[in-house]
Amino acid sequence: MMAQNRVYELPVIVDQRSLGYISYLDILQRYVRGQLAGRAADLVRAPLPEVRPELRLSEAIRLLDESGRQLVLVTTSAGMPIGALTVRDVTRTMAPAA
Amino acid sequence: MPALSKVVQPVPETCSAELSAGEALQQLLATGADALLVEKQGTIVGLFGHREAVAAFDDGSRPVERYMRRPLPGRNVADSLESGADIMYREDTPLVLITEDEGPLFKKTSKTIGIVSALEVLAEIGKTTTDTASNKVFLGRRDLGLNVPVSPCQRACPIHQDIATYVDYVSQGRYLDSWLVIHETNPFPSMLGRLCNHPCETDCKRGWVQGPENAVSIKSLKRFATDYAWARRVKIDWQRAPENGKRVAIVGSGPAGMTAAQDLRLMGYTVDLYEREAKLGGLLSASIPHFRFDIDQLEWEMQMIVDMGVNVFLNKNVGKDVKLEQLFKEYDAVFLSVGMMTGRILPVPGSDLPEVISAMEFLRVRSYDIMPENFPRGGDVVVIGGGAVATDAAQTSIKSGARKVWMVSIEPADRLPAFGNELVEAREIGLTLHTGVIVNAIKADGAGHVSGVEFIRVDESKLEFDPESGKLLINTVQKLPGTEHVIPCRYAIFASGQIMDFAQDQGVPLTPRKLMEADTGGHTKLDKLFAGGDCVEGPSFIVNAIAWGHRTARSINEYLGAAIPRDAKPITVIETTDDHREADYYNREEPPILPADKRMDMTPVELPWNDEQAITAALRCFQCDTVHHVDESTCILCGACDDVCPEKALDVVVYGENRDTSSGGFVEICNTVLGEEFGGKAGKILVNYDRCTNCRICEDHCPVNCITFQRVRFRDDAMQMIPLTPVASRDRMPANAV
Repeated sequence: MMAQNRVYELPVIVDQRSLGYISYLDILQRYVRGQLAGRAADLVRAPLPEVRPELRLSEAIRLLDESGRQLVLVTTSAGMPIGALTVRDVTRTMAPAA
Repeated sequence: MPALSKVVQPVPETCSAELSAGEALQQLLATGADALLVEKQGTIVGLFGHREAVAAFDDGSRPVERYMRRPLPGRNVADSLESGADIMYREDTPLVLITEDEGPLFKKTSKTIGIVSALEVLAEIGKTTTDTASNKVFLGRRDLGLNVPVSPCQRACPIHQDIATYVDYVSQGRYLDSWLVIHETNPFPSMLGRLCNHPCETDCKRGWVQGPENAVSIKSLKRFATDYAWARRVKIDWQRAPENGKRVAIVGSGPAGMTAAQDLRLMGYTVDLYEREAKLGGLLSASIPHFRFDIDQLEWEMQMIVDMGVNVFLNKNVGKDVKLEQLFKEYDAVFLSVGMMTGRILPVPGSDLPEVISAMEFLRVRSYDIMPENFPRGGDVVVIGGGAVATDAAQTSIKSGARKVWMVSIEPADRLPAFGNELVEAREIGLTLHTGVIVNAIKADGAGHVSGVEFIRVDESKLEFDPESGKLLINTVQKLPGTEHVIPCRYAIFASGQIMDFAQDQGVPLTPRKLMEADTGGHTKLDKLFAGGDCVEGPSFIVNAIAWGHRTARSINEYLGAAIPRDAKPITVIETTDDHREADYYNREEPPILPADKRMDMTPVELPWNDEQAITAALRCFQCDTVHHVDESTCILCGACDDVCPEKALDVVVYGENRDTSSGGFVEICNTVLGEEFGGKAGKILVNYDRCTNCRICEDHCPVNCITFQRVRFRDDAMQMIPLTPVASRDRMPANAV
């Protein structure tokens, strides 16, 4: 999925709740160690930063930058994911200004 | 072992280290690449990708050198893929420079010839890795910190019903308790007990091994418990939250709308339910023919929801009689669950003749016990389509007095979309199948009435089907010229798909497929507006619609300000119990149906089970919600449990000893260090719950009695909005009730 969608991190969502994310680094590490026969749940890193949809874009980008993640999850106030803000979304936004 | 040469890509564009970050970003976006290499004085000094560009959001005028990632590790093109993956992990970088040696021995130099991206490595890993994860039981979420398995049936059910518990209650003769557990998440067990596509049975551990060990008859047990409650006219006294003064309009009273109405009413909302038909139920009551379920039971279940205080407005077509804008003014939230109730008629020549009708309209009219206009009693009918709706229309035509009924489809007989026993039942009462053809035209007689349907053969060898859904890929249909033929009939029914019929001028966001656009929680782009069920997902199963209702009610509750605990777990342990038993070995039985000669009217065809049949079926359940409990202070790691397990589901591992570990299990149920009297051994016991059948032979053979079993009940908070246990209202029972 990562290769197909050209993303380095994937959020893990269970019943509209975010459990965290999977990083490409952990998959590479497992591959090197010959331990790929597990489940995504074994690799989940947490937390994945979450923002509300009404948050200012600049603040969401600051959070994304400070977290070092490839994406932040956009959730409702109860933590229900409704979308994601990825670094590519941000760079697309920056392009006209740049 | 693949080498990096297999995934190497050309060197991406470079940019100068002095270039501003903004200009570098423009260049990056223009190339469409993942990253640019940053060059300084002819040497590659770093990498500037999208992640690095984000840091320059505030000020893009500074040089790219400030933001770039460095240093960039390198690997030789002849190195292995593992070597590339390893350096990426160690250096925390998604790109590695690839070099190649050049020059003679002892004077070798390295030249950069390309890069390798982590994404290419992942793609290569994906191609060569086989998923060997054996513990299917753990594919769900219940293992996330809880260390006990999810019953496969509960995990597979879209509304996560606590199946092991209600099946167990039937085995104990606690039928009413069973029905109450069902009702915790399922407001329409009378329908799902007969018509569910039962993904729970598909994933039942009993059925994992093909052969006589077929899945437990979960669906029929649900029907049995419901029949018991219905016979006593029991109703549920839900404990409602106090009125909160907020109003929600629900448009459409199908399974999604009714479920949401129930949940929202229980949360204290005022719920107004708008239905364009003259009766409640949507698809349940207006599309599914009455011989497939008990209409009285459905009305009983719907009445239970209405009795909570739901305000019902029948014959109100929102979008026409009432504008959506008006609802936005009057209500705090609006939920559209209008389904896909309009049938599609293919625009072939003659499709506008008076005796051509869509299956959805035909079934709708018949659901009111009215005969559609021009229906030829004693005449011939052709039903065009091969799915469940076509089978329903065909059976209904036969039961309505048609002399001969054809069901005609493109798919060959063994690939028809109709599932279950419906097709067999239809053929038993006289349905004739004609497959491998596509409709060409509807033929008319001189008086302008249907006289037949013309078909043309398709090349069946060229047909392809979607590997996931099993549906026919329509672009693989190739007609065979010269094979035109006509089936004479007086009536043609098109069961060739459904469309959403909701006023297009209401501003509801739609997808390219002309479905409503909403996420899985029912949120749309419009304030106050929620949508769910078939009108979002496309034609689906009843149980999926119920799940939509639960989820959307939860979304609306949250939207209107309810405090939902942020740390709520998707599944909550609600009960542990020692009350468990060993599964018994009986063959699976299907509920009996009426003999074919008694199925010529709209009487429900499926007959009920008696107590013995139901209890026998329930005793077959493995109770996959049962887990081992080992007293670590008593266990002596003797391995007796491992030796006697008939399923080889247990491994006793003692450190320093070479014991067989063949179960493939990884759930640790014991981890202990023994005292000096046992040589100070240490070890653990692992279980593979994919194999364990809860036979408890390990418990019987444990010499120190350290193994017991516990059952763990779970509730999915997403599917059960109400933290209140339903109670059967005994004061409403008739005097002769148990």
